[in-house]
Amino acid sequence: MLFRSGADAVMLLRIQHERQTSGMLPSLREYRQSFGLDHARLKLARPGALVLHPGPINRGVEVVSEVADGNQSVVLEQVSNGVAVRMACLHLLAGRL
Amino acid sequence: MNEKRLLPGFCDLGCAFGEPGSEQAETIKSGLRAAARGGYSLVALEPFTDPPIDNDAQVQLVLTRAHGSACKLLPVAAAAREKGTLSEMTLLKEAGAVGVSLGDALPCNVAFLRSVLEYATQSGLAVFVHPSEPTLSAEGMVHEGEVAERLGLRGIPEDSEEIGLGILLPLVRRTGARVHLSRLSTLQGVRMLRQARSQGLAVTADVGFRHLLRDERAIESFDVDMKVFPPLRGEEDRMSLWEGLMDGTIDAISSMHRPVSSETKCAEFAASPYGAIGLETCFGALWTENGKNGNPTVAMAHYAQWLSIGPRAVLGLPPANADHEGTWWDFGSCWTPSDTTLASRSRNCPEIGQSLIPVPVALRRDGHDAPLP
Repeated sequence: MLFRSGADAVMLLRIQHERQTSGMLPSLREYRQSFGLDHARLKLARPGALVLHPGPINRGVEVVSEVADGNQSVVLEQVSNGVAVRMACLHLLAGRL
Repeated sequence: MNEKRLLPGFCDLGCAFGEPGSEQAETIKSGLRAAARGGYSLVALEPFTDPPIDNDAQVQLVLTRAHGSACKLLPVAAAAREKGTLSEMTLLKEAGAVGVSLGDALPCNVAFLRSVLEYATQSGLAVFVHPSEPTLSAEGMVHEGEVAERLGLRGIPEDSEEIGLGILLPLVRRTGARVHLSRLSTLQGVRMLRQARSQGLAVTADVGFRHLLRDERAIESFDVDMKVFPPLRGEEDRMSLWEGLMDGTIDAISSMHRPVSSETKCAEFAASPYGAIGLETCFGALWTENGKNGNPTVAMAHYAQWLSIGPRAVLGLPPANADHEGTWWDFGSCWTPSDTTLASRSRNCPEIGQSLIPVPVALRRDGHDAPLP
């Protein structure tokens, strides 16, 4: 099994298929079947584990919509926080100019 | 004196049939029937048909066609798809493939070769390949040597295997891939494999039975059935292949079964495609020539090792129990391969007209005797 059980959180990342020039991924179909997060795989994590994804999501590839929009998902909150963190970084960096 | 003996079912590590695309040469059913009549209970099938077996649906189709035959089939799928990308190895494995093959030569693109080895490792599949460097082997048709020179046929140098292994072995070491070398043919190849194995590399190998029994002189009469790939090599190479078997460097003997229809095969030497059938004649040719023509005198137990136990171990399978999965052979009589006696649909068989001992007389399947198919 490619998934470790008992994780506190599952962090996903978008497959940047358009940047795959080395051809290490034969197809999105196989990627989805091998690594895509669905309810069955999420059950391997700790009950109530958080599902994270920085967005944008390839729905149906790295994660199915039911999980991305499910009650364990904090994706929208993560994206909102991401904006705040970027703003803070820019503010701190700009302040040194 | 009763000269009938029960031997465990043989296992072939890379035969080719013609289905789909060249059913006139061999179907899966006719190929498996030929295999069973040659003493095989298991064959690994190479994927280079038209279209090739490079997706999970094709693997399932091949398994469906093989269902109900007296010889089992394990599909080896293509490691790369026609458009030059990796095949979906995880899905191929789930569908029943036992490995992926790169065929008769390494890819020209070494970075892609490395990707194949890495992805196959991640997918849990072995990689089958004849380790020849493609640009050196592309133009030739026979072993580069005195005979080729005299006949005016372009040669394939031994360097092609040596350089191919020089590229492949470091990548195997780096990626940890499980690699099987198909149809090893040269002295230098045996030496490099011996050294690699002594260093603990997970590399196995087989040798075609005709490469043990014949050398480059077999093509002196321009017999197109002796045009095989890799080509029949020099006498020194042939002896080194026997030594490789005897000391355990080489794991298995393969049939190199390559059916080609008579219409295609019967052409001038340069235009005739590579290949000869061998599933039905492999063991008979080996046993008939045991101790002759410079061949070592080899005990039956060794043939059981090289034709059954060794190749099964390459596929990760335990030895076959002859009582459960075997073939009855009559060592007191002989048979002659011919149009009427061969089960294969093709006739590109160098042993046609020769007298071979022993004769397969019956199968043993699931603990019961069964007639030959």
